[in-house]
Amino acid sequence: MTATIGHVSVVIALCLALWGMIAPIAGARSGRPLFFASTRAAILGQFFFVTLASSAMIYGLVNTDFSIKYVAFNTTRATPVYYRVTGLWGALEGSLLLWEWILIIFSGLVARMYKEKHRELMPWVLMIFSTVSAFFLAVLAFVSDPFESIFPVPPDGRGLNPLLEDANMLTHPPLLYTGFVGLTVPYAFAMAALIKGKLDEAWIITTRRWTLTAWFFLTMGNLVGAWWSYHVLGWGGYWAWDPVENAAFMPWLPATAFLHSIQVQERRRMLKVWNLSLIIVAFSLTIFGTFLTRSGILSSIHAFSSGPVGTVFLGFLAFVLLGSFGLLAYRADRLKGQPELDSMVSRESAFLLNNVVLVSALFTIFLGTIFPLISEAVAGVQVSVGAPYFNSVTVPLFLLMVFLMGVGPMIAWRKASWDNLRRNFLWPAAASFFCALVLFAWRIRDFLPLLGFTLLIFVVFTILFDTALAVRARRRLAGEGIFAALATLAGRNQRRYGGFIVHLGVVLIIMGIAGSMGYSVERETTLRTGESLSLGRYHILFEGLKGSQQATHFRVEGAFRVFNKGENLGILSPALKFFPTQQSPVGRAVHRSTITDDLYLILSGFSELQQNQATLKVLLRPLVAWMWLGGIVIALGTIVAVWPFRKTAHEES
Amino acid sequence: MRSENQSIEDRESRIAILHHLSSILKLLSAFILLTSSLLTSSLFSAQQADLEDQARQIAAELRCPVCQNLSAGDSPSELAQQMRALILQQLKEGKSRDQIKAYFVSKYGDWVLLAPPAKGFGLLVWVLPYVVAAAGIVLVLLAVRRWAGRKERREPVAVEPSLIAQVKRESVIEASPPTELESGSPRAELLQEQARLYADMRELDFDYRAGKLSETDYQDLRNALETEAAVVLKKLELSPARHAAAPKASETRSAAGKQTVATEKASRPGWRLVAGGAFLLLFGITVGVLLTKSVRPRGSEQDSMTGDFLTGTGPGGIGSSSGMAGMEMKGPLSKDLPALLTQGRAAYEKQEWPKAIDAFKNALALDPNQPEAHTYMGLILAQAGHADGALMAFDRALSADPKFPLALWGKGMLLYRAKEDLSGARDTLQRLLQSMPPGAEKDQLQKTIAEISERASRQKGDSKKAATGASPPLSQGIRGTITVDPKLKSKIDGQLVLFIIAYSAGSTAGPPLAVKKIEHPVFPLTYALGPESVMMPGLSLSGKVRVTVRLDKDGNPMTKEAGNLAGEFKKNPVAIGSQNVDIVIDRVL
Amino acid sequence: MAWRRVLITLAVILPLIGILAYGFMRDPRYINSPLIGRPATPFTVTLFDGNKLTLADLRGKAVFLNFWASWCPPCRAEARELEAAWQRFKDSDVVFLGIDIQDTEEDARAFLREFNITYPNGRDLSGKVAVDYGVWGIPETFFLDAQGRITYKHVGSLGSALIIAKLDEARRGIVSTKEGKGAYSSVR
Repeated sequence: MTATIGHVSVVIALCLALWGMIAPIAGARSGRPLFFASTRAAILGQFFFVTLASSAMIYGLVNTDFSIKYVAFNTTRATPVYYRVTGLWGALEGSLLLWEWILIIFSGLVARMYKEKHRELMPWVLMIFSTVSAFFLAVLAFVSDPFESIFPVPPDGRGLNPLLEDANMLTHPPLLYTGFVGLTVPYAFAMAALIKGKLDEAWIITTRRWTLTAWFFLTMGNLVGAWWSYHVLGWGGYWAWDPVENAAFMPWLPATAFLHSIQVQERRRMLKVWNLSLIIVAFSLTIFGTFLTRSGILSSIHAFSSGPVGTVFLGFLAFVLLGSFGLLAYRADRLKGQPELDSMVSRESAFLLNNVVLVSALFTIFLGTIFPLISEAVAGVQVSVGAPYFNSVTVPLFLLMVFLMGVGPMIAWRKASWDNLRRNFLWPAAASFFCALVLFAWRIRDFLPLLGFTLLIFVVFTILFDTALAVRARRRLAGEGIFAALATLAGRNQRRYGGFIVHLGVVLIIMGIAGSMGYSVERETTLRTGESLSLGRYHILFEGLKGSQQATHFRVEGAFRVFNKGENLGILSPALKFFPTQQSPVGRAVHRSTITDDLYLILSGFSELQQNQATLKVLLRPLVAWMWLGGIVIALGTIVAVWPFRKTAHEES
Repeated sequence: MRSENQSIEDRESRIAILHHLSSILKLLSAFILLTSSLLTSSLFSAQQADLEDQARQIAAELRCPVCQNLSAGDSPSELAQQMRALILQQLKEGKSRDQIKAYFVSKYGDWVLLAPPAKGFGLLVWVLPYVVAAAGIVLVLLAVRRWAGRKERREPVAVEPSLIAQVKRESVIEASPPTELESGSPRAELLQEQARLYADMRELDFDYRAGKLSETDYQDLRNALETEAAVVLKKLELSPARHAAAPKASETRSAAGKQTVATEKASRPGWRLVAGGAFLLLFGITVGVLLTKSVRPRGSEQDSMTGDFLTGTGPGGIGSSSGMAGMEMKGPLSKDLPALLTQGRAAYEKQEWPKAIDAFKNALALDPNQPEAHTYMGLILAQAGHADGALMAFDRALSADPKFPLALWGKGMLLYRAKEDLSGARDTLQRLLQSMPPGAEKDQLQKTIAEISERASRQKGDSKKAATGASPPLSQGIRGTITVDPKLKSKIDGQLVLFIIAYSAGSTAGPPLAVKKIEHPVFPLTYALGPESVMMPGLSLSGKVRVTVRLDKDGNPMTKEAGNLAGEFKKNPVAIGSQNVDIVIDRVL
Repeated sequence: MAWRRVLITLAVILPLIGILAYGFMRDPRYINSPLIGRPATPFTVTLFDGNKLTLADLRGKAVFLNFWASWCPPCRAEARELEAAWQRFKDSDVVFLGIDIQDTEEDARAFLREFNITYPNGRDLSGKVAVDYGVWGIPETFFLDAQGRITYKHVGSLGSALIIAKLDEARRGIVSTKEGKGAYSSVR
């Protein structure tokens, strides 16, 4: 019954989506406004039916309706309720349903919000939404049906992949999907504008906030993914440059580039083609990411099992790329402007360079990700492209990006004279140079890390210096106290100060990455009970092994007492879990976080339970916690930038 | 013969080019290898690596054959552990890093290297990113140079000084953006452009005041922006608002005739909105301009209204720079009120805010009720974004001189453009209207008022959708004026706080339903008590309430101390939604 | 003008799609071995009967070298076929040798008993032999000719027909150009 409701809902929604695709065209041909009006109805109808289907799926999962194959494969009777719900995105079919659901929620919001605004564009915007939605619904209806039934009905289900039984799986995929899907909004507006040939700036201003929101979810999704990788996958790292990780990260780059270059378009009415291309690329990359994750053409820890879905997604990707860029090429004549700049040194130029750097990084990561395919197809050589490659190639680009992050927001619009540069950068540069000397004297002697940390400090100083100047001016002007002045400043220029805070968050994250990558130390030793090992300021004493039968697996854990400079910090127990369905054990690493470094313990093996002998891998990774802190700061900054604090500014909300 | 020779030459030169290319490529790849090895070695290696560390580094560059995309160093798999042990063993045997890597490559192929070897086809993946980045940077620099050159070559636009003056005046007050306009009409675009340029100017002003720009840079940039804004203004003048009502250009452009009909039909309410909004804005702007010109000095001895309204050029002239220097030094305070005011106006005109503030403060020290000084302080505050402070200053000016035109204008425009308090703006501007001599200016003002009324009525219609304006819809609050009994006027002094308290009509005890706190009240005071003042979540302003007011000294609404002044609405209880709930403070507690 | 732009767009996008489509034609987990046609790496293993066996001693004979583990289902699947083939070839100039990897001795002995395996089997304790042969998925089988050269490699379970054919080639010194693929378990 549940399955039938779900399946029928999907099919009805698909019909509505198809109608939503045709209606604007019919409207344009016949000239009857009713057709245009019906696009909105089509979206709302889809919203209703997709929600119904998703609810049916959740209902089935929660009530362990094992007659649905998907439920049988992703839950058991023993699964706690919240993991039953997360089962919605635990496997391929469900995750597509969730994707479609988020997509149609976004479409519904857009349809609701712009009833009066963008009157001409809206039917076409909604048509794009319907097209994307129709694709996903068709996949759900014909290719990978989440409501497929199974007969005979099994007495119990198979359960989630044990790695997915983690609290972060509650947040990571929905965040990431929201980020991905959010990029559909600017894409839909861009395509509508191209179709209608209405290429003014109005729609760009409207989508700015949507893009920022999508960008935020994308950032958070990636960070939470890194966090999940760090504390569940149990190998001590958070980012492996895995193809699927890259796929999730790649849309972030053009989205970030877009958020910057859009400011140039707003002020100077230039870069129209460029910005449209960035939107198209960002959206295409979300589809590419889905394709990569679901096709299994590249090996990855995160890949879903492969199936016919891959080819369908490839077809859609081709359709999107050809359609979008074809349209862009067709309209390019109308988009041609006569761009003008006042000077070569200006914020405009800084933003353009920032775009070049971000797009180069995107190119690098994209090339690296698919290079094994290219190499095998063209030269017939099997190669791997992994962390060492990405680290060494992208680091210079990201350093350049950090530098521009310090310069860009402070340099004057239009024209920056020497005097302007001196006023804004002399003190921050001097201060960061001083810090560089201190760092050098302290410990950091290698050129690149020193340069990296100095640039990061430079960014912080420029932001602090700029804000300090502004606060001083407010104090002089309005006699406000420091905090009142800060509040007024942020309130009056939300984007600027929100951007500053986001930049600080990014600095924290890069600091964390640089620290944990460059200054990690690790030891791997086999210990007998009573033996110990030292790493940095920590001393670790092995107190024995313990085996226990858990509900779903057999668990072997080691007890390790940790001393920090002689102070007893208690026991950390990394474990190995043996699942009957899995060949190799699943590691459960433990770590102890402090603001300066993380102590990370991995039980990599044990000889025999009785002998009480264990192989322990210990990592000391500095500054990891800063990354998660940076995430919180970014969230804060985004709220400052996006939140409609001022009631009068109700333009988009 | 000849052609053959040529073709041979051609070929030779081509070969030479190829040769060059390949040597360049070799150089490039050598460079990249060098830098990348430098990068990796310096970034990801400790300095004095012992054997174990070396083993780890090597393992980090090898791919674990079992698991997906992890290095042999990171992988927890058994095979990876065995590989790590093998690496360590080979290191102990004295093998070099390259030898060990070569060993694994001989077993698993290039596949096992996580960074592909930079030779043959694999070179591409190392070279291309740098090529793309370098090409991108070069392209951007070239483009920027071309675009900058284009501007330089272009003839400077001649703009009328009057337009520049208008820009200078209008850019100062922060207005909410013209959002209700349907996008797409050329006029709406121009208006948006204008608003954006004004915002840029205010940001520039602020940056200048913050000390981020030198005087000359500031002037340069400001002039550029002003010129641009003037061009926009000119265009706006050339496309009167009724053009916006005509079918949009984009539609006439569209090829399908039928479609034009369709969209026009569909968007009729839309373009009305556009036209209405455009009218409103146009009137706002023109009225602003005309008002400036209309408010002329009425009496030659009365220096309260000398000069052109905001520009401040009047009979008094611009204060001498020496006078200003004296002001800065805070030296002998000029006792001459008119001179102070003149100095203040001059400083205001030059946007030297601190000087202007000093001058007007000094003027107020001499005469605390000087309306012009209050008004200018209000204008300065309005520019600083302190709408509330500005409003208070205008109110002070008006309490000294209820008909002071500049203050009325400032308050009205502030209420209209920044606070979106349409009824308040209308009332204020109507008061201004009464005292104005007839003429073109008066007509303009009337039009503005009409336009505000129209917008107010439209907003009332929209109020179901969103109650975003500063003034709560009447249905959910009460409104009125608070005055102080003349007998008690002498008792008002010091840091007072005014509470407007509404109790539910039925209950006699317990906490009030809603409280509004107004610091430093200036009487007569217009107030509105709306849902935002409700004390506890869940309660709502509805039914009948008793309204009282109290002038308090300690800021706590719950305590009543002796000496506090109080008053209440004479016809309590009053229904929510009432207007003219006027209260007189007439009791001493 | 527009056409040129459209052509450029196509020229960029179509190869990209082509490359991605190519991805469907391969198994990303599969590692092509560079060892075929190369001399086999010498090694010595301790057999389950306690004797030592050195590969170099087997010169002059074709060798059937099979990597396996008791926990690997495809290894179980092919075990009987392997023993049957051994029974067929044991009197000729062919040697069968099984190498047990990543296993416990107990499980391995049980496995050998279960399938009545009589050809020599040894354990690779350190994983050195497995790495020397680039093992990544088991069962993995190498065919060596009389000169100790690898003539063929197969990943996954073998059927007797293929064993016979490839052993015949190995005895004659014919090197296959391609390696074979079947159902395998990834090593751990």
